[in-house]
Amino acid sequence: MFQNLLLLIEEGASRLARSLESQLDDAGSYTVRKLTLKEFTQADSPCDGVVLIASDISRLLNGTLSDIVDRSAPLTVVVAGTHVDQHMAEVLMAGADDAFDPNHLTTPSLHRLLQRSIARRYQRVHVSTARRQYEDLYDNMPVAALTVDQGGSVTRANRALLNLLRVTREQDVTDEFLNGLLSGLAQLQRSSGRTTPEYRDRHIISVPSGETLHVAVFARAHPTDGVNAMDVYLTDITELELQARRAMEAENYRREIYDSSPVMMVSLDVRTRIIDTNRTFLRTMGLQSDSVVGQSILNFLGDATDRTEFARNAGRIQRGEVIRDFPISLAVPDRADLECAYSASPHIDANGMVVGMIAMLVDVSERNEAQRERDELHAQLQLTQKLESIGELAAGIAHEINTPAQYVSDNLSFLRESFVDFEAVLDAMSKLLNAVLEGSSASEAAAKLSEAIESADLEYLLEEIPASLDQGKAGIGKIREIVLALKDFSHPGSGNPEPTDINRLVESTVTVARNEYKYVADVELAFEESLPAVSCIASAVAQVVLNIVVNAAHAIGDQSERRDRGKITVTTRTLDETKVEIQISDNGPGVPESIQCKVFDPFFTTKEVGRGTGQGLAISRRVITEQHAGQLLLESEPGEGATFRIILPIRSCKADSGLEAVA
Amino acid sequence: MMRVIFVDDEPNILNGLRRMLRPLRHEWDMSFAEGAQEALAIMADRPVDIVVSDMRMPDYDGAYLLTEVRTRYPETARIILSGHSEQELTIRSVSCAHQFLAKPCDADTLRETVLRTAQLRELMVNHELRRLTSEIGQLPSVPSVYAALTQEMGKEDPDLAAVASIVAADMAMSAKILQLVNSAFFGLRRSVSSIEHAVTYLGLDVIRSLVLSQSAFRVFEKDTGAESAEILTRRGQRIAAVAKLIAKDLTDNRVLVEEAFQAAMLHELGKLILSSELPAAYAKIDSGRDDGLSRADHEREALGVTHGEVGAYLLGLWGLSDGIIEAIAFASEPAKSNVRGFAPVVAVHIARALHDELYESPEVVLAADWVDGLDLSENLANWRALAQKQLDTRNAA
Repeated sequence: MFQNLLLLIEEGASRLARSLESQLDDAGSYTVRKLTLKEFTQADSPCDGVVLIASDISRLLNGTLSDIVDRSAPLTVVVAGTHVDQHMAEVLMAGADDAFDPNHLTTPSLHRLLQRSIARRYQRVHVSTARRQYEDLYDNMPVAALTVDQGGSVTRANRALLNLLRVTREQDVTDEFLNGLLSGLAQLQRSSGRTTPEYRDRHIISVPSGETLHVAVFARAHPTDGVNAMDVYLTDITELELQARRAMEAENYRREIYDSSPVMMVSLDVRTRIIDTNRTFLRTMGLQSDSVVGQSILNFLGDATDRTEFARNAGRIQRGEVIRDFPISLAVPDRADLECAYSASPHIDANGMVVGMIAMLVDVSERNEAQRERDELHAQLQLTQKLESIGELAAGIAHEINTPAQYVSDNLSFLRESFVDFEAVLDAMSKLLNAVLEGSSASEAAAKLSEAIESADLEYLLEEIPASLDQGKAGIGKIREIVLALKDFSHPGSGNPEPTDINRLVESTVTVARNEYKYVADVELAFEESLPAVSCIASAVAQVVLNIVVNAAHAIGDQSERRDRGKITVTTRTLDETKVEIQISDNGPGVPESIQCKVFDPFFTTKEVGRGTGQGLAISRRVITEQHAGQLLLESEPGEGATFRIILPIRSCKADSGLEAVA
Repeated sequence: MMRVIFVDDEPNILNGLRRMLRPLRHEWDMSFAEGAQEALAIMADRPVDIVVSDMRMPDYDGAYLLTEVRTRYPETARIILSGHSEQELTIRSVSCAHQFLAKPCDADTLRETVLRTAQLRELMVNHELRRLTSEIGQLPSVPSVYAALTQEMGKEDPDLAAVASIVAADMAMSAKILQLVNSAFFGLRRSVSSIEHAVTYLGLDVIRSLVLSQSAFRVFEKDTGAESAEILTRRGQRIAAVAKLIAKDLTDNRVLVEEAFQAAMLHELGKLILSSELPAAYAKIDSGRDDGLSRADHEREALGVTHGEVGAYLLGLWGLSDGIIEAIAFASEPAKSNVRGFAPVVAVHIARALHDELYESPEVVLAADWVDGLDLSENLANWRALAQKQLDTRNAA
């Protein structure tokens, strides 16, 4: 239907208008906008309307009638209509007012007026349509836009701009915002030096609500009004900016971590060339980034072995393996090579390809130094403890030797004295023999012999001398035994595991320790005769056996209420085809449960100051577990005694204490 | 016949001793025991004069035995014959044993030690004194000197020389140190008479143990009214300085010079023993009488022995050298000694006599005939001048 109809009502046609109004009401679905001609000519937007003369309107609309100038309408009204398009007709009606002379309607002046008015209106309607479309577009486009006139006032702003600025009306676009924007633009305009009045940039603006926004600005001279006005388009890029900044911060953060790590980090390409390093690496090497990047890492390694090893490992990494804690040395300019340990893993890109590797190097010179010191300290402790026990033993061993030496010496004195007596007897015998041979009187010589025999107490001598010789020999045997045991015990060995007869080791050790236990306990040895030779550091194991036997003797000796002699049993046996056991049991006081777990702690001792440093068992455990990969166990029932079990692998499998590569 | 008991847990040792000492079977009545208890049982039956015991034995050790013997039979001379050299045992036995012999000990040394001890006992005719003296484990020290030693040893890094000079300033400590250093435990081949050498040889650890154990040193507790340990010590130091000069004049033998010095230091040790063990009797002697008799005569009259003999007896029991023992025994009566030619007693007697002469408190008068008999009279003027100078210097200091 005729929605876009414009009803023009000539001035003074109020009666007609009223009449039309009532008829339009009858029509029901149309409203009439009533305009005076003057209003019509000034109106800038079309309005809906309807005209009564339906047949004429139809004609006007379908174009069969382009203009109506009719004065024969049923109503006393002059209608002038003109076709606009199929939806629109413009109709001019001049009401037959009381004061209106209908004759005027037929005058050419009205016709001309109408003609003019229609022509102008026709033009205006087209412009207005284009304008409406433009404005609709302008208003609804997602890009915030505003138009600024030469004086700097906003002449237009679209909804997107209002949304952007969080305001509802154009009037709320503040001067502050505008000035900020404009001065930024002016600055930009100047600095760009471009003649084309078109600018792009990013701005940080404050919106009236106080928020700060990041915007991308596109400004250009107004296309119709020349350079005097400017269209400005703003895109809110605050979120993008924030994301970018967050990404940058994340990168900085990552870089900072990378740089400030105490570990040296180096990124390498597949050909071991340095892509990037962290600050720690540069600082350690005393180099600048530009003198490092692009070079092969091999150029910074200590020696040829390091280079070969690294290159070999690089191959493994390229096959996807990870290297951990591998020793390497760095050639630090003007300094000694730096001992490091490095770990490296492949750098895999999104396609799953190994495109390089990331190596982390740790300065382990101090750690190694500390380890060396610890090892040295341990060796020292072991030695100290050994010397300490030898020192303790020395007095006992001296006694063990001095005692037989005393009676050997006494017996020799006796024999020497006895020999004098024997000489006298022999002399008398020889004289008697001569007398008998010469045939002279033997009775005097016989009396002298008898006297000599009496004086020498020959009966006693004959009885005592064999015993004296036996005891002297036994004494020498004792000395020999202890000297041999001592030699066995204190033999330093090579310091490396060697096949050792454990039974003999235990026997020598017990012999050496004899004086420590013999006043308080008996030692019983129960050896497995077929015990295999065990690969071990004999002197170290002997020291452990000694410690335990002496401890047992001390424990028994310290039982002040004890009256009977204690018993220490040393047993050896094969546990299985890989292990043997030395078991040392005593029937002393045992170890209270509360300290059973502490006896292996360094410096733990229950003895008074000056009687051991409390290192014995700690060192013993280290010797057995670390040097021999064995076990040293304590089982004790307080009051019943204690049993120490030394379990040794038959074949040496000394743990490699060096750094190990882990695939 | 002298009765000797040998104690050792090793039967072979006893067998060896029995055979080795068999030639003395007519002079010594010997018994042999395999342990402390057996020994005590034998002694309960028949007390012995000398006990020679091993140190380390099962159940009851030598220190236990000798301590028991000291309590039950104080008169018995106590000798350790041990193969041990542990410091702890040495320190423990220092107050209960008179002498220490080390295994292996040759027959001569053992015989001589026992014989010498026997002879010393004969010298001590006063049995009461012999008992009292034999019982002595430690002698009283001058409190201030003892304090100085404790203080020096308490330092983090005690000075050996300082320790030596402190010990040298006390008769009791000097005697104990000399007993210890000359014991066979330390295995010295020659006897040591210089405190400085002794302290150096024993070392700070032993000295510290001695100070700590309190079995070696003790402080003078009671004032007996007699000449105090300080006075005796200071006099000893003065006379020792002079005796050393005289000895140097007469011999190049450094051992004899040392012995003369040390003997002079210790020559009045007997007074210390008497004032500490028999204070009442000793105080009476000390009061003196104006009867023309020497102090030695007074002592002999009251006690049967002189303080010199008492000191010599103890130091003899303790194993100090014969030269020192003789010098101490006869410092005031040199003519009673059998000296021909130079011996420490010559220097000690002359130094003492010159000292008394110069101090005008003549306790000891120069045995002029004896000195003349040694052809030393001509030296007297020279020595008198030396003594004068020495004493002046000391007084000035």
